[in-house]
Amino acid sequence: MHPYQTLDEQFFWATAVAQRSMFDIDRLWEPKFNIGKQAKVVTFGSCFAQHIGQALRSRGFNWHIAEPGPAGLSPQNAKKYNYGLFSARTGNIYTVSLLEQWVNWATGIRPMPNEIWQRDGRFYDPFRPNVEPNGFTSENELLASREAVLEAFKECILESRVFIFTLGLTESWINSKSGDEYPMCPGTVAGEFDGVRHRFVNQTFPFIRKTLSEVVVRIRELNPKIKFLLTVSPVPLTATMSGRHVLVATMESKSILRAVAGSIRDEFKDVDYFPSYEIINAPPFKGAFFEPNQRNVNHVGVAHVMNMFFTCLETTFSHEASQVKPSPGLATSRSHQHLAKISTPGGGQENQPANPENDVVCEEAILEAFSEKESL
Amino acid sequence: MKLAVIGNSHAACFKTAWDELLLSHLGIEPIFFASPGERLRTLQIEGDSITTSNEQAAQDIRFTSGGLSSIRVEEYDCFLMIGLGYRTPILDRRLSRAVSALAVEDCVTNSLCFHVLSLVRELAGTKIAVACQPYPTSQTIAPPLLPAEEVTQIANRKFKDRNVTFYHCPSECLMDNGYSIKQDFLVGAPRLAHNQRKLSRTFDGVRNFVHMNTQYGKLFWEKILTEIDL
Repeated sequence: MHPYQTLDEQFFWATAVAQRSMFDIDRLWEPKFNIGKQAKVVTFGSCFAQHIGQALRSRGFNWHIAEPGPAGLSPQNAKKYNYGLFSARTGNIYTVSLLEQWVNWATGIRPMPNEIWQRDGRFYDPFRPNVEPNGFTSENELLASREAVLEAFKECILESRVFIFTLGLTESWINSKSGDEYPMCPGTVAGEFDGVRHRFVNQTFPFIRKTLSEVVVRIRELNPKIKFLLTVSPVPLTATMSGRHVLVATMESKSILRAVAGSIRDEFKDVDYFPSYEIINAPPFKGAFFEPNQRNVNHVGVAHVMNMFFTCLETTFSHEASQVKPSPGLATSRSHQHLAKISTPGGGQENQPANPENDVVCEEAILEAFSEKESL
Repeated sequence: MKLAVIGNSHAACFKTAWDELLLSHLGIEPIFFASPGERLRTLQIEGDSITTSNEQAAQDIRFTSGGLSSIRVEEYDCFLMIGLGYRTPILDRRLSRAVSALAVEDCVTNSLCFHVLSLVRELAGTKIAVACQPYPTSQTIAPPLLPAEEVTQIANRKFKDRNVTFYHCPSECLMDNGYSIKQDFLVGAPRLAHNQRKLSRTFDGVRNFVHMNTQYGKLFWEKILTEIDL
């Protein structure tokens, strides 16, 4: 008798994976804690995090938006101006060090830098370069908006019960002098690149782990009841400055982020990790959850990830999640035929997301516009 | 001069105010077409008239207009829209101008008011005025607020695109925040009701937190009649 003989089938590749349809691979997550329908949940992070908030809302969970757009603003305009994508209007927070910056700024540990970019008489926030697509009309308008987002982000930290964060990148750009980190390389979305003032940093496992650990501790000091759920974005890098092939750089970055997330989950009782990265990227799924550009996750993939999320919650806690039907924008995970259509080359409209309203806003994709090669 | 007054339940205080003011000597003859809530969303163009196939809305129109089943646009010299879902949006002063402008624009274009005035515009270039729908006093209005005057200016620009004049609530009726109506104008508010031949004067107790009273209607009429060139 050896210890493997008593293990459940989920612990063996043959029974848990190889002998199953990809849609029948289940129990990928055993959540540490329940998420009740009333619990205030906030979401931040990389592009993929936007799907999580929307899915939570469609299932009747309390996805909290601390900085909603003004009443009456149409959903299209709200999205264009980055309202309702995350719980506050921070834009994408790609790295854990960017998250640390937001925590420090919102809680007064450090003031938000006074750096502001200008172009054609418009004013851009280097730390949220895409929230106002055409820039602010004045510095004062930009500063007032910062006041609102910091207030909202602080509210998220202090009042939420579950803080969901999607780790996206290891590659980052910082101000050489101040050390402040930008979410995007200056000069891409806005600003002007300066090889002296702006420095590329590819963050390492020890740095990311230490930073995320400190963020968790800091937030828990302010809100002892808060729990964290980490995910890693399955979306590959648009471009890399690492000097390595973008595929290799992508795998290296995601591997580091995945390892950090697991390590932090193991360190803290109230930190969990949900394997959305694996659900999209693992070999048994054959890349079927990607759009033809092999980067963006298609809506079937998003639906499969989120169905797995709610099913695992329900299985573990007899949660009521499954009793609530998802919105029409979310397909069921077992839509084999639908997936077949999506994957068909030249499938016309079926190659487009079923509901464009659910598309994510991802500034990083703007980098693609700077590639001289033709993009998909 | 014939004035078509199209409104939702907020038209009630305009009717009772008109009756009390006895302004007929000005040569103005208002005809009311009112129906509560969003029922007038069912209005549509039929020939040279605006009508509805919704039985309840049609009944309301007959009741409030004294028997008319449709609005024959060419018969009126001016149109006044009352309420019809357009309230001056309450905006945080920390919003960018771009977002504020879009929010107001979206509120205007998605309102029932805009739907109805667009129907009128399709048939005639007749003068159109819009009277803002008031906020219920229960509405939480927390600072920092963009002053209502600034929001009104943005709305005015949007309405002017359709050659429509917009009126925010009379300043005498407003609380300091510029949006909510003072308590005095809530006492004894009339409601639309079908139990009488004309607009009901049935008062719903001491205080109605949504609808305004006859005094409010009078002040709004005075504001409109002073400013509009009828």
